[in-house]
Amino acid sequence: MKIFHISDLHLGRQLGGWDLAESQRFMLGQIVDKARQVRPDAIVIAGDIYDKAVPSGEAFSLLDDFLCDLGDITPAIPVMIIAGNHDSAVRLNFASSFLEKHQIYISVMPPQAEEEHLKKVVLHDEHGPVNFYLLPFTKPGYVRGLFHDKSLSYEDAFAGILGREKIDFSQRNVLAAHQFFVSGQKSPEKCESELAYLSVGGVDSIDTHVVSDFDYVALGHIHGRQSIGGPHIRYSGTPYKYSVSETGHHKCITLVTLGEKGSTPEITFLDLECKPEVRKLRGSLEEIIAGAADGCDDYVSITLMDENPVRPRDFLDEVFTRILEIRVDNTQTRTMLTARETAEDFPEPSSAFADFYREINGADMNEAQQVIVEDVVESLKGREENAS
Amino acid sequence: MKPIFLEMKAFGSYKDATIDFSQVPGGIFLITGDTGAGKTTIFDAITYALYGESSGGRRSGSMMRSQYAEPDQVTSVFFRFSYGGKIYEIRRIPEQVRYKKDKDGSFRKLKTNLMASVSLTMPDGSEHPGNIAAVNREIEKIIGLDKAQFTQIAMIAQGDFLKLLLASSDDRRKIFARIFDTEIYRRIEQELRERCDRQLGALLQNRDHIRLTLDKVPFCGDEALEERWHAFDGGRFSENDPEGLLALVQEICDAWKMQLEELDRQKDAISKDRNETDHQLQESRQVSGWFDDLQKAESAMENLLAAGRRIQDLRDRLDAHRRAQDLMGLHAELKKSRKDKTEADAKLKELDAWISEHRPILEAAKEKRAAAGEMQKKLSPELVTRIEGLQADMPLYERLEGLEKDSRELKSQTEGLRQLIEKGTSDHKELEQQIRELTLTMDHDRDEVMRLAELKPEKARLDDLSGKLVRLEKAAKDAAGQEKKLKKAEEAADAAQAEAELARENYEAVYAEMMKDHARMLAITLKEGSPCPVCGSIYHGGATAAGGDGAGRSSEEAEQARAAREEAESRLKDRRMEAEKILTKLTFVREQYQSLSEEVRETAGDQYDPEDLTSLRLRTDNRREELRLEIEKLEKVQKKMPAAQERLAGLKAAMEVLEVSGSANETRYQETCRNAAAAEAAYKEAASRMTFEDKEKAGAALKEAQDQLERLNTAERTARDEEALHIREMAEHEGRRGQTAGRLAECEAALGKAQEAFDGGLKARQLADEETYLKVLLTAGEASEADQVIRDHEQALAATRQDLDRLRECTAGREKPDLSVITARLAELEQKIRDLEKPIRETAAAEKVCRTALEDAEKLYKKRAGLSETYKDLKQLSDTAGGNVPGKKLRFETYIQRRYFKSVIARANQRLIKMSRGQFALVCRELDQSRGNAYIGLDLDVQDLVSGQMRDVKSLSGGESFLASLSMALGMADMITASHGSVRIDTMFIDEGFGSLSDDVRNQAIEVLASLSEGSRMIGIISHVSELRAQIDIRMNVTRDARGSHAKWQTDDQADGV
Repeated sequence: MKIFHISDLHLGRQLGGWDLAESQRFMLGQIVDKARQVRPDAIVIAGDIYDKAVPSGEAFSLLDDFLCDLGDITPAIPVMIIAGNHDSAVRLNFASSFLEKHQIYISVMPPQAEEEHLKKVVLHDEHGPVNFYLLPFTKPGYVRGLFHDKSLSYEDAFAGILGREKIDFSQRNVLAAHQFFVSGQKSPEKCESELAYLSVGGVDSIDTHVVSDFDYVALGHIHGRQSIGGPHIRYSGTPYKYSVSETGHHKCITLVTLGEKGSTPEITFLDLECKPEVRKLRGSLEEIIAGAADGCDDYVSITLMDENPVRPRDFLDEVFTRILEIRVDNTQTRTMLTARETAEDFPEPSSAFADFYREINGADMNEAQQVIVEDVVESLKGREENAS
Repeated sequence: MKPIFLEMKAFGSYKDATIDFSQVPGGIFLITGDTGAGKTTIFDAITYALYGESSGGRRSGSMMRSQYAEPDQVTSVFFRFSYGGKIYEIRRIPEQVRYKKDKDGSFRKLKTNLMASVSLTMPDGSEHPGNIAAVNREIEKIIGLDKAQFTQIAMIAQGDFLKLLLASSDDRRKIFARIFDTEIYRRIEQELRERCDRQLGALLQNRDHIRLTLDKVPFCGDEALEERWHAFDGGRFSENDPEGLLALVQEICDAWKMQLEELDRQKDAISKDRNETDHQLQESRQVSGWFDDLQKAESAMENLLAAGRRIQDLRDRLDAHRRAQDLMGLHAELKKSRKDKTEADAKLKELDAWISEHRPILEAAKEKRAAAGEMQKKLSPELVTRIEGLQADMPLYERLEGLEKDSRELKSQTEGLRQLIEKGTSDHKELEQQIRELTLTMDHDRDEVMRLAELKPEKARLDDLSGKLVRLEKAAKDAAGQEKKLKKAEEAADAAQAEAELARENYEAVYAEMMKDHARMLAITLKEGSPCPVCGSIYHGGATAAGGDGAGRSSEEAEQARAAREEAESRLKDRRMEAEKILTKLTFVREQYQSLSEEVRETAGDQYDPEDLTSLRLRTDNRREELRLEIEKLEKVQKKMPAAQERLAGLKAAMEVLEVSGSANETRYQETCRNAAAAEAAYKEAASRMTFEDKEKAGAALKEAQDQLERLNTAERTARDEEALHIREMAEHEGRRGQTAGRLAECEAALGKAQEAFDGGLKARQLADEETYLKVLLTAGEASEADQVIRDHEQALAATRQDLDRLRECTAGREKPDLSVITARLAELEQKIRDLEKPIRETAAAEKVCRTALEDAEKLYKKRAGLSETYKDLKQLSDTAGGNVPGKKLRFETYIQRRYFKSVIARANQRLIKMSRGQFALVCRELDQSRGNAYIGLDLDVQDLVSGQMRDVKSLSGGESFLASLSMALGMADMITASHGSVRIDTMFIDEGFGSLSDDVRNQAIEVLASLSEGSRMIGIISHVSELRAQIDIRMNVTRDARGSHAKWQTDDQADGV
């Protein structure tokens, strides 16, 4: 059985003030094309469909067109979607029952009442059934009602939800989730995009041992493609470079081929072209402009290393059409970033005065003047102490 | 400072709320809610609890008071927080008006306000003992921040946030001065300036001193010096050439000294001449004295010789005196013997006189003694007999007394018993009367109560009747009313009938008219030969002529008339139905009336008159009221009857007791009467046997007899004692007279002997008689004086003689000199010396003044050099500190503040560059661009890091301003932590500002804050930005409803409904 694993579409996202709608439309088009070629048995989208809880109309129409295009493929490919932390459960859930009739399965909330269970989709191939469990983004509070434990951790909550399901591990099982997974001391490689959303101190981290029994775990949340805690537990990464920190990433669809029970799934990657490309440029103004022959329409983050850039924006605007940001990395900014406090910050009044005198008069005080200043400072301190 | 628990009572928009911060593990948490829900109030409460002022600086209770609280609820804030792992608790109550709840639930304002108070519990559980000011100081000590610092870096209020960023340079200077306490630097400036001024003052004073000192120097008129003198301002001061001035003064001084030496020389020469002349005068005076003395000695000699005769007389007298002096002993003896004899004579005469006077007195005493003895012998036996008799009778009188007492007691007992019996009798009579009356009353009541059996049924019957009558009356009234209504309805129906007929006629008329018109209209349009659509006739001429007036009725009018007719008919139908309805009702009411009337007649009988129901009802009701009162009264009587019965039994029992005790008293009375009579008889018999009436009188007689006997004995004893005294005195005086007579004889013999011896002495010393002896005898003083006079005379004579010899020798061959010439010369010389003294004195003084002034001036000039040097140093320091160095107008305090400011900016930039993605940084504007204002140097610019361009910080956009402000606050916090080593800023609250950020920038800001929190620091963000809710797990939701604000920690039980 072949499965497309993608996640973190972030529809409606902006990059450095630029609207990415067209780039995203192109990206989704590629995915539809690949689906048409490969004819996977299922497409799993592991969360963060939209970038915002309240997506723009354009974002809605992007998803609409995407699902529509997929629906045009026959025989129909089942699509499984879970909500990520960026998604609004209520909004994503719109028309889900209707969509289910067209084999589009959407799960937005973990079970919250005794009688509720994870959404389970069963598909078959020559080796028998494959059970897909859809577990949307979960905070402990969402399921507190199930476990009556106030101090429930992310891992407790997640393991608890899985524990409630009667999962037959003699069959093949696939889990879709959108959480921050770690494996022992090892954490996934992160980039700027998700930093603001991760809890400091790692309270939201879940160890992969709670999911290791699944035959494949399709994860979303982290923007860089990677496996964690085993070859069958994977983040697919974003299908597009959503921050300057992702310029080094290679964006793909993760194609999972499940064999019979017990065999390691085969993982291959179907390349996705980012259009326009997102790039980081670093060097002197002259170098950057000289090297700008190709990719003048890419999204570029430019770091200038000139000590004294003169109206660089005017020069760069002439060459590049989509500038994300222009930064300067030179002695001045480095000094600004590394300046630490010194004893100089809080000098004694008399030595401060000595500095001041030197600065104003270009020479040190004579001995008599030093004595005077010290006497003045001492007498004022004494007065202050008496007063207090 | 880390918050643990906050309680707000009647504070802000909170009526009574608690917030438990201990749930926040650290890191960022969000306080969210709509605008005005009370987010900032939480913030205010913490600031108020700590510093006694809300973040906006309010401190009075009325301003913080909740409008949701009951007036009598006291506004207070309680805050528990930890600092450095120790837990503190503070409760504050602001000053506020007090209300009291009255019984009716309203509130009354009390006259006195509740005063502000605070209580701080220290980690060891003790309460801080100080007053509000002391607690405020303690809090500043614990937290290490004062309120200004706290609200600038730990609890950044809505308005304060941008303040630091956008403040003017001068405002920023004030903020910095407050937060970093740069007061001391300003004071250093001030102190330096003051010291400099003082130093200048000392210099000026020194100059005046020098002037004053040198002004005293007297000028000696040396023309050579005069020119220089004037060159130095009259020789008083020189700034440039003090040495020259001092040399000039030295020369003047020397000139004065020479002048003085010349004068001294003159004076010495004259003095020598004078001394010689003086010596000459002394010698001449001595010689002249000798001549004078010789003359005096000669005259004294003459006088002494002339006194020789008088001295001889004195010698003779002294000789006679010495002879008489030998007889002084004998003469004294003679005088003593004479005196003894005279005394003995006088004593004898005195004793004789006494004896002759006392002899008759002795005789009289003897006689008196004899008479008293006689009287005693005669009277005493009889008195003794009488006394003994009376004493024997005394016991008998005592017995008599006893009898009398017995008799009296018995009599009084009798009287008591008699009264008891009388009272018994009267009580008995009274009881009898009461029983009789009670019995009568009871009989009467019993008869009365019997009547209840008749009255009650009658009342029941009347109650029934009354009810029926009321109903009957109502039925009659209803019937009358319905009749009236019926009549009206019938009238209305008749009227409607008439109307309907009129309408019908009208309609018929109109309809007929209309039909005619129709026909005419048809006729007009018809052409001859074409068939009529109605009748089919092809001839129409006649029809046209029959058209009448041509102004016929239209079908509309007919329609109106028809409608009017139908309306009238339907109205008629309604009226008729109404009348019928009323008639039905009337019939029903009448039937009701009939059946009631029958019932009443049965009950009331012939009293019933259907025409006058009212009077029957009134009568019935009156009777019912009478019966009700009567029954009520009788029932009361019935209730009281058992009590009366009980009382009667009680009275009868009392009477029986009274009768028994009465007969017992009678028996005792009889017996006591008998005993009393017997006792009285016994007493009377005993009394008749006695002499005296009772014991008292017998006792008086006994005492009288005893006194009489005592008087007799006393008189006899007194007379005897007196007689013995007189006899003793007489014997004594007679003995003494004998002795005195003997002594007189001895004295006379001694006198004779003494006379003889003295007379012999006189003869031997050739003294005529005793009289001569007394005359010649001198007193001791006279004798020694005479002796002295003689001796003095002899000495004087000898001395004078010696003097004469000596002086004659000295003066031999000399003349007496003339003194006046020498004296005149001496006087002349002395005058000359005196004349010189004044110029010498003056010159010496001038020289001294000059010298002193010179010395003083030298000292002052020396001091001046030091003062001048110090002044130069100070002036430079003061000018530097005060920004008065030309071209460098930077004050010391400003310099320091710029240093702080730059440090804060450096720290702020580290965060700002990150948050702004390397776009811009803050820069302290260079000095010379601040237009050289000596005060201010704290202007803030923002540098575009890409273009390197500087622009004013006010040109930042809202989001950029927020980031810059946040960076400044964080930089400031870093600075304060660094400058006060012990200050820990564990908690930060940021009120609003996130709304102005774009998604990217907000994420950057959150990231910086998250890294700041380092997991343990608490960072509270107060905001209503919905995107933040997705990013921050720990949230407090603040809502507000009719009961005030509520703050609740939100767990993420539901996905946010955004």
